[in-house]
Amino acid sequence: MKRKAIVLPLLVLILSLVLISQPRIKISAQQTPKDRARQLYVQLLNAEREGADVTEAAFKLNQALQLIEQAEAGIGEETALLQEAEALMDEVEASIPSLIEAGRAATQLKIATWTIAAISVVALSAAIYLYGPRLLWTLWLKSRGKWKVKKRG
Amino acid sequence: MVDEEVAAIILAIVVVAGILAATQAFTAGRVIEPFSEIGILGPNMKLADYPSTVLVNESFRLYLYLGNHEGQVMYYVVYVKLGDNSTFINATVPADAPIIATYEFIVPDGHNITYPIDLSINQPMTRARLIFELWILNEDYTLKYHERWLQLWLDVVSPTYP
Repeated sequence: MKRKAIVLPLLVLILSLVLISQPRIKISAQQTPKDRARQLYVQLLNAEREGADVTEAAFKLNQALQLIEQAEAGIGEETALLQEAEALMDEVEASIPSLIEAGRAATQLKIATWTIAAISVVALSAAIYLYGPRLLWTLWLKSRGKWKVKKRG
Repeated sequence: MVDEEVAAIILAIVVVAGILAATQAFTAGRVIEPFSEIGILGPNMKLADYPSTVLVNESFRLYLYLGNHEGQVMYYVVYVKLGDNSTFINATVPADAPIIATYEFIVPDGHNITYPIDLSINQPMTRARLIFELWILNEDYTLKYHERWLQLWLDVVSPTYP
């Protein structure tokens, strides 16, 4: 009785795990090259949102997509076309982390530049407000320093 | 008194100039009104020389043009459908007609592509309507009609043998 009480929940647990894991295995096994291209596209989209420049990677992924389309349409040797597409997609996938990193760095640089620019504008405005008139009149006097005043009339 | 007036004017000029420069720099590269382009070019890659009559099963070449100004990389799907005069389509309702070809492209923001497409129609038709619909892939991998479409009117005739 005690043994049954242990075995039964254990069987239920194992069965649940098998049922839960089954669809995942199925999806993974059924993933087509086009599915992978679409997944990589979404990854590129997210990378772009983090500031990454994905232009080159996007063109490469598009090239892979066209090869997949050609393979599906029976234009050329299917295996070779798909291999080439997979190689291109591997390259794109490998480049995504570095693109995100570069994008984040560029965003930080942009924020820093903006902060410096804003501080500079405020500082320049204050300096002009405080020293501008003095500077202006000094220059005005210097430019007219050699003028002679004549009495007329 | 004069010093203060001059200072105020200079300060105002600097502030206005600074704001203008900052606004320009901040909005540079931003997409105010995102949009996509779809176009069909004739066999000579021009907006001319479109075929008006083709033979049944005869392959004819056109060029598909796609432009991305959406502010992000886009995954486009173009459905080529075969309709007729009664086929309804507008910016919100795609055509309920058979698909004769599908093309998929990934286009980075601010770029465009021109791609050769070879089509053929397998039945004789008078005033056949070749409809090109632009769809996009969402992040959840569903496709959505992107409210852009084109059409090309054709007569599809059977080949005559002497």
